Amino acid sequence: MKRIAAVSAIFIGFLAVGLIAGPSVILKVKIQTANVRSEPDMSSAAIAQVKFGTLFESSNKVGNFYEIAITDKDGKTVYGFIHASVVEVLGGGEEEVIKEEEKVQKPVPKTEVKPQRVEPVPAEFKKMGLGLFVGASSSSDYGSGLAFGAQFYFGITKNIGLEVSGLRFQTTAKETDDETKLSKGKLAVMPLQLSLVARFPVGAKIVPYVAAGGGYYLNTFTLDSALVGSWDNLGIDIDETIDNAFGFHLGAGLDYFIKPNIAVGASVKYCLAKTKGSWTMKEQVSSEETSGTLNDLKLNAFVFGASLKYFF
Amino acid sequence: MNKTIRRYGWLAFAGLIAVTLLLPVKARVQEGPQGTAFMPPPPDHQKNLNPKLDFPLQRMAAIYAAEGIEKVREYAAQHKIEMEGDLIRVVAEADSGSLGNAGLQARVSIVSGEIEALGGRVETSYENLIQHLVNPGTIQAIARLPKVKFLRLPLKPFPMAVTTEGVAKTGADTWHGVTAYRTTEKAKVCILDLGFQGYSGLLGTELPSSVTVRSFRADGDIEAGEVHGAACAEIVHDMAPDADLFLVNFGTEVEQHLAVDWIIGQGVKVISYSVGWFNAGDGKGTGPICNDVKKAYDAGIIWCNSAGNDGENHWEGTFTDSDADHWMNFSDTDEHLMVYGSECYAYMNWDDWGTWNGTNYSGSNNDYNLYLYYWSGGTWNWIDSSTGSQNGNDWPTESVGAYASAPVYWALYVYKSSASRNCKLEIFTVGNNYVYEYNVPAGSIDIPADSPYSVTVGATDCISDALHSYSSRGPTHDGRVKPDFTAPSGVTTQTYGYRNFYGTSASAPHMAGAFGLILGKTPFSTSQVQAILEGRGLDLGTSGKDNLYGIGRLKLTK
Repeated sequence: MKRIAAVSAIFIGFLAVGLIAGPSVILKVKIQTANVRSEPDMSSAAIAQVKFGTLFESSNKVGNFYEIAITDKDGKTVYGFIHASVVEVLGGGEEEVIKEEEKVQKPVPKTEVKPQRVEPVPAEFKKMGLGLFVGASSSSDYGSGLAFGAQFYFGITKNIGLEVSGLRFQTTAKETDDETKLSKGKLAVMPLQLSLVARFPVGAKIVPYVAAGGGYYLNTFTLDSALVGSWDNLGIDIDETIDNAFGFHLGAGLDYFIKPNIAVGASVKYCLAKTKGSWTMKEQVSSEETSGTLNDLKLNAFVFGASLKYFF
Repeated sequence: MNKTIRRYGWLAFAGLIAVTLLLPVKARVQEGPQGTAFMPPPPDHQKNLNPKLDFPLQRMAAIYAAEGIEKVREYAAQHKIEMEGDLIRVVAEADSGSLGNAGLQARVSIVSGEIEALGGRVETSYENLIQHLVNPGTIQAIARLPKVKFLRLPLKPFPMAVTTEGVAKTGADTWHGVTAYRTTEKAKVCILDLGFQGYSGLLGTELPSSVTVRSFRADGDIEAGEVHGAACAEIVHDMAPDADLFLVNFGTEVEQHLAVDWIIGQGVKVISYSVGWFNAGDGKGTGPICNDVKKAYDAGIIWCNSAGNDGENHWEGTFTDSDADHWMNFSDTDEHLMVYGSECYAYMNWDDWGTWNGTNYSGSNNDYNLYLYYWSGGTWNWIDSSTGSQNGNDWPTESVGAYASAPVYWALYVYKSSASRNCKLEIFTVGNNYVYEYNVPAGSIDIPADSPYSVTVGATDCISDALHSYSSRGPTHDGRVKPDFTAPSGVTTQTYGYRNFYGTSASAPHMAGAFGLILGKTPFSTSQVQAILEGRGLDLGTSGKDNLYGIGRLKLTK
């Protein structure tokens, strides 16, 4: 990300410089001898004279004077002003120069021109985008935990697109005496989701959106190690597994473009999935084993957090 | 004769609880009366026997007719037969014939009415069994009712000796801190026992703050003057603190049948049963008591049963009569089985039960009798006889008993009255005594610990893991290895305090608690938990499962 930001900054810097400097013109002295004055004023002192046919380049015009650079007798470059009536404009941005404001201003040396803040380009319709997500999940049955993921967006129109995302949220199932749920342990849910996204740009920077879709949930469950250890001390192995599942989701969010192609955002998604699992208990000496199924494991969870997206 | 010795030893009473191990009989007497072939003639009680009455009821009826109610009370007290005033608790077996359930219920109702018309007081019934109270004067009349097939005393259960270090010993504590996995259901564990005296004072401390209590005794008394069940419940709670406990008691086998049906309906997963029976089955896992175990098993319940405390109170062998005088020769020169202790209640059965049809045995036609003598004044003195007639459809059982104010020598004699073969005999001596000679620990498993559907638990020391000498051993009469496990005994309980809780009674609730603990923590089934515990048992004694330790001592760690 840092690399992307740096490249963007340099690019924007060049763009700003271009806008401030404006076009230059080529001037040719059209009289036998012309004065070069210290100020853009006929009453100012003549600091040099130039002969017919001498060529100059000027990028600054103040009133009826062009600012030019000349070399004095000591070989140094000095700046002065020559009246427009004594020169012929041979080419360049004459029209734009002529349209500059008429009031007299001090010339600004090129070397002092500094980049200025540039307004971002509105993200009206970006064809594709990549994003990263980090946040938290809150499961109705298994508590809350961290969530993170990645997404790829493909715009079909300005307002409609498809999003493929991979998400992972992990929770710590608490100790429970509810025999229909998983026991104490770590539950990781990894939905691979396809969403239909509807985007509604507001102004140049803000794009709210809603999404809905389905996905395949890759699930893993690891029993709490202390729980497993306590039974192992008694010579009994316990284990629980959870199946993968198909699920659905609804979501909403908002992207805020901080750069023409970069947006930060916040989103919330509600995932609905139900799956099955199993448990086993096996005694180590006799190998007596008992097991059961968990037929109604609900993985429903809110997943919310922040994202950073790059559009191109 | 010692003045405190009562005549007519007979059927032992439930109150014998625990004494086998708790009372200080361990100081063995090395010298005693020598065995002798001499057999003093006992009185003949076999005349005019009513085949529809068991022997003690015949005796009580005869005593009542000849000597009155006071002598009956004396007989009952001697034999620890419970009486309600002048009434005796008995069980009438209604003739079920080929009746279906509805027909049987109608018949039981009719017979119950007839019993009450004769002055009996019906307490409860189960299938064809009608438990009621009768005056000894009406015993014969009730037995003569056409649809009364047999009238007898109820079978009586014996709580095993009482005594937890077992939690740490078995590793149960390593499970206590673990959060249950894939189960939210608390394990329901039932302690099925004779009494729970003092349980309410243990709630919230030694027991959960809330327990389910149900008595199936005729009097509805959950405490029943017996603390044994409360101590067992303490152990279950120590092992499985999160389990839901059911405290259920009974007094007879009829009440037990009702209790088990109720327990099944409560969704109980584990039963802790530290009760044993004698002369209540063939030792092959059949009979009315074992039937309850199977019924519970079929309902998915684990039945943890104490093996029994009769390793030192047991003899068995094939009838031998080397001098052809009909008296059993325990050796070539010895016709008595000598027992030492302050009491001697002896239960004899032999391998002629016939076929168990689900409700009864087809019965025996080999008739053996049992006699009890005691040593006093330099000679053996007769004190009790059991001479029931086994003439085709009777259970092959006899029992005698008596007690003394101080330990004495007792002698048991076995007489072959009428037998077509030499049967294999088995004698348990219950009470504060031990078999002084010819003790055979093998095969001393109680009923229903012989059930193939029970998890039978022997007793090992809670510190040393040594097998306690009293712990009953296998095999069963059909050759199966028992016990299945051993578990700690001699543990500390609030109920027994300083005495500690000894006996297989303490071991079974450890086992039941282990089941309750794992079932409450895991989704394993009861059979899976059984397999898990079998895999983890600490193998003791002979490598592999054996008749002393079973698989080994209960261990919950891997």
